[in-house]
Amino acid sequence: MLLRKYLFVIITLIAFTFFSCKESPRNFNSNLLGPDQINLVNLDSYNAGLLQKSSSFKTVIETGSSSTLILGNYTTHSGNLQEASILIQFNYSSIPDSDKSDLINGDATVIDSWMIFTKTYAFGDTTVSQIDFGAYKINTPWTPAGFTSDSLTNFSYNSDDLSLQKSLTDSTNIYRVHVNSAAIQNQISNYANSIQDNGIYLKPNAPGGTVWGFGSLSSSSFPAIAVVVNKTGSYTDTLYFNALSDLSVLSGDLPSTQGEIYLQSSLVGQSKIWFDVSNIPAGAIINQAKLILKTDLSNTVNGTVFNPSVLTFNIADSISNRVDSSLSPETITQADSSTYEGDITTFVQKWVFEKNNRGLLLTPQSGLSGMEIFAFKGSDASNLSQRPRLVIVYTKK
Amino acid sequence: MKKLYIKIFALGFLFFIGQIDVFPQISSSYSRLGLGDMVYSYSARRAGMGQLGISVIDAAYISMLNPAGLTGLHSTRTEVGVMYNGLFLSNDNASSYSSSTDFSGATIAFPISMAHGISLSAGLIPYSNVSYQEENNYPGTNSASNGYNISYKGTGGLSKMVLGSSYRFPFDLSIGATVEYYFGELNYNSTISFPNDASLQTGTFTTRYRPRGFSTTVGLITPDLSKVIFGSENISDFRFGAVLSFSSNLLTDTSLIISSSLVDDTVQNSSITTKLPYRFAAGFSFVLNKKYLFSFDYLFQPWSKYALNGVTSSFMRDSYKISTGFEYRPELEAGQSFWEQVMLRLGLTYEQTQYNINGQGINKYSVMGGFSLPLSYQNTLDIAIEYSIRGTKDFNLLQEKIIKLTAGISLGELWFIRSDQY
Repeated sequence: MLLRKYLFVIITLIAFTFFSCKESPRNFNSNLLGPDQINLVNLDSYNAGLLQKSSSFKTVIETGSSSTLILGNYTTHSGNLQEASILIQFNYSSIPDSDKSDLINGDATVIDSWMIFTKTYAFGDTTVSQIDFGAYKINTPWTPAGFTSDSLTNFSYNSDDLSLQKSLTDSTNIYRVHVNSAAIQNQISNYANSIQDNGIYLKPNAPGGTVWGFGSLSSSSFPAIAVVVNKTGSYTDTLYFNALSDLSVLSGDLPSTQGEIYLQSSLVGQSKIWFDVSNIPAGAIINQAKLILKTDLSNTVNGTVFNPSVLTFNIADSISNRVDSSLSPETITQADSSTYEGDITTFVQKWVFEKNNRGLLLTPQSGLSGMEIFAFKGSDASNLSQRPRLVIVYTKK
Repeated sequence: MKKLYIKIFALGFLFFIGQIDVFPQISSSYSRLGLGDMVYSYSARRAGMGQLGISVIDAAYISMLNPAGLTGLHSTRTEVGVMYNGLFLSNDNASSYSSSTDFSGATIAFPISMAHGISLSAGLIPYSNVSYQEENNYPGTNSASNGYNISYKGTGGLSKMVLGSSYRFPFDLSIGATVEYYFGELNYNSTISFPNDASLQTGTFTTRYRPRGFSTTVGLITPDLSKVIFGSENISDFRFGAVLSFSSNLLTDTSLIISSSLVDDTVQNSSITTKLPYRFAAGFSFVLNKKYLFSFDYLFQPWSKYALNGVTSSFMRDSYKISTGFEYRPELEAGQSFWEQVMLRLGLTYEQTQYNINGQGINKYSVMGGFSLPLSYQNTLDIAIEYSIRGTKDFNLLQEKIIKLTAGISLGELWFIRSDQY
């Protein structure tokens, strides 16, 4: 009986709860909520004259995982010579035993060989039909992991140019580089005898204005080598071997111009920008923060394949330029022909909340592919309206 | 023992229902001021007859407002309640309707010595309530070209856990005292949103107060003076009562919290004191023809002395409440039908609230009624309905029309009765 009484009451109360209803809150403007008033504020670094700093620098990074091998050289508008070279080794493990033993015994010889690349990219003067470079035997052991442009300092190769004729088939973009047959036979012999062979170094010759890009091992159009083996009176075999390892290195310096900052792929050129946001109260909520960069079109150079976007990172340590791993990078994209824009609200919120603003790091989104040069107006640009601009909308109590 | 478990379950369940924050708005932006709206009665019994009943000694009701009223307790009692609030809110700019259901309190009391009126009581009951929601829309600016909204929302309130006792002197003077532990959380949210522009982050500022502290209440109810004053058999239980809740300084943790999709953290923390002003109430009551209870009460609380961190508020003034109540309670006789056992109540109150906005006081008028349906001996289902008008539309203020439906259950049982051994 007691239980039934309780059940009756409980059911009644549940009904009360779920019959409740409510309209949307209305705009009473009652002026009773003064202590809780909040205000929306617009802060434009240009209008407010916020202090800002920017600089560019070259970052030495490993490029072994790039999907593009670049080769050639290019002189920037500020006179910096940049040189792209390739290191490549081939995998001869698939050679048939008969060919291998004949080559080792001297019963057969390599009568022709050519490296095969697929051209995927061009930078600089894209109208040329050929680039000038040599192929050299590498003396120094190397691996894609850990090899940077700094590694070229202690890098050695034979001065004998092994390259012969070079030809590009326009319809397929297949680029063939014939190389000295004896050198290739020597490589195969080294493989058969388990002797270390360090591969071939492709290096531009005289300064030019063109860089070509080819598919690397990290792409679907990876390099290979064709080797023609002849045993007199017996057979002539054409054997194909894929690359074993490859990488390209871009050496040289970033362009530099007063009033501008630069980003460049492969080199890798990066920039830092810092804005003084100390006037924003620590308890403010950042509703939006937009970074706007003005492009210097005359100094911006794009390749035939171009990703018009820039990654920005929050800097954790402005000395080492270590980025903040707790925040994902934001993308700055091309808004129009002369402007890049992107949302960096997450960074500014952290700067304000933690009172720790080390600035932004900018890097090309496709930093390991191609050698695009992004030229932006910097914090010391003479025209104030063209300097990097930070537009913040925030709410304060 | 089984009944005890059922009661514990029911109390817990009702408390759970009260915590369901489905439609939380039960008041207006007035409750942003001070500690919010006062809650004078958690029970449907008192809510139906003016909420106070300072001088009433009732054998079947746990008086938490005046602990001296516990001396009449004859059995262990448990009372729980929930409250449905419907709020029509309007001013010259807009109007709205909202409603919600809230837990209104739970108490238990049991007599230790009926001969001496010694009883113990305990309860969890609300003291004040903050509940409002308002939204202002703003047109486009250079910051937010598609406009934005700022909404304000207040939730929470102050509650108290009460432990009380009573004693009746041989000359029929009843006294009582309670120790109260006040606690609660008052949240004041301000949220900015951009419904027409998803690229802008919504953000909320929450100012939070967490007061806590002890206070005490003492009360008395005089002996039955009906024979001395009236000398009539028709009037009985003529008593005066008074109760005083002492002022208290509540230790209050305050914080300002900001939250958006990018940040959710406390940016300011401090510990301050909230001065809770004393409360005094007095009244008298009598029973006519052993069936009709009349009660007249006055309650005063100097909210002008309310202070947060030592700072008083210009929006607060001294409040008082005048209340009169009537209850028809049939004398129980064997063989009565269900409807012959139903109790009826009526009440009227006028309240000068503690709110004073720019010199304009906010007052409240209420009319209420209620009834108790018998479930069994000593057990009733109590219902009360109240209609109130508070505030004014003048001076850009708000007028509230409130419908409040309170439902409670009042259960009595004999505990601690030793069975004879044969």
